Amino acid sequence: MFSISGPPGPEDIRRLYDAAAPLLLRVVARIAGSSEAAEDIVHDAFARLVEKGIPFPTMDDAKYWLIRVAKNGALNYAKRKGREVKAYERWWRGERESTGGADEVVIRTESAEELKRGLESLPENLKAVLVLKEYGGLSYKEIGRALGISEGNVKVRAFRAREALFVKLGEDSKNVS
Amino acid sequence: MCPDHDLVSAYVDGEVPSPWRERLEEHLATCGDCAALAAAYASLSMRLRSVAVGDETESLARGRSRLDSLLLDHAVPLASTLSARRRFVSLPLPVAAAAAILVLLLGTATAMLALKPSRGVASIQTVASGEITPLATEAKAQPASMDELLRYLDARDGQITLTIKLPSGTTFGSAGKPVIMRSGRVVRGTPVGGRSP
Repeated sequence: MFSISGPPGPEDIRRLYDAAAPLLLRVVARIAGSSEAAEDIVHDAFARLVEKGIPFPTMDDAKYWLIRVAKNGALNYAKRKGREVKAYERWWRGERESTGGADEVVIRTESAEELKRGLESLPENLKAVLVLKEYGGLSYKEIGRALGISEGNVKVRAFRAREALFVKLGEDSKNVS
Repeated sequence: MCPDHDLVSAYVDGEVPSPWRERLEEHLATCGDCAALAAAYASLSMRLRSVAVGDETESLARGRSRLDSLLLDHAVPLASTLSARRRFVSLPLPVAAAAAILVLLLGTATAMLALKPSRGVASIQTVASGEITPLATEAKAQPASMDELLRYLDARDGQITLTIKLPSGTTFGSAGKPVIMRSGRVVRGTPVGGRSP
């Protein structure tokens, strides 16, 4: 286990990887919207841990630090990717308008893709909480520690994230069951 | 009265503690709107969790392999730094002691040379070549040697007052009288100042 007197050694870091990497990969993949990107982002988080040599009082503290760093990395990636997607979409709309728009009829069905896109389009602070809850399986208390916010704030953000997602999906929370 | 929706959301997450949880469950059992809301939140959670992203197992294995490489890369410079420090620290004790003694001796010698008083012939000559200025009533003397100086003093029966300008750079030791007086006694056997030994 880590000690407060020194940075984690290689074996500590390996143990930490085994304990935290599955959660990190799940969460980051959901936030970033890509498994490949998640691998890189999680690796970068561990690389920072190794290079900085920060002493952590406990394994949990190191885990929450990693979650925070990986979450930020994922949000940055999603933001970058979002800008690219918007650029492609603009180009695509332009192409369709110029060719007369062959497939104008869009049948709205809720699909995994739609849900994924809805989640990705949520505001960062709401998305991080919902993803850590749904995919990280963390409690409000743990999410609060990882993000540096209060449990009450986590509760409100989780609620707002769900409501916002319903809006994105075109659903009313009172009429969906 | 229905609870706030964020409380229902927290309930779905299992974050409402007892006894509020039981009270909320009682309310949900009797309120269709709140029950539908709770069901909607629960359904959204299930749908979110059912969205697959990719195979996590392979990602984990690849990540572990990359981490091992990273740790190996970082271990090399750390080890070399540590071994260099160890080599320095593990100097044999006799060598270290000899080095310490050498430094001590050199320091002592330097200090002694710097503080050594100016004694001996060189000092006497330096003082003797200085200008001797008697009182205003007497002629100014310019003795060229120690003998001349002593003759000059004898001629006045030793009853003169002298002002001796010492060279500014000369250092005298702490051992009392100027060297010139003792030299005078040795050579001439005549006290400066007219007193008998």
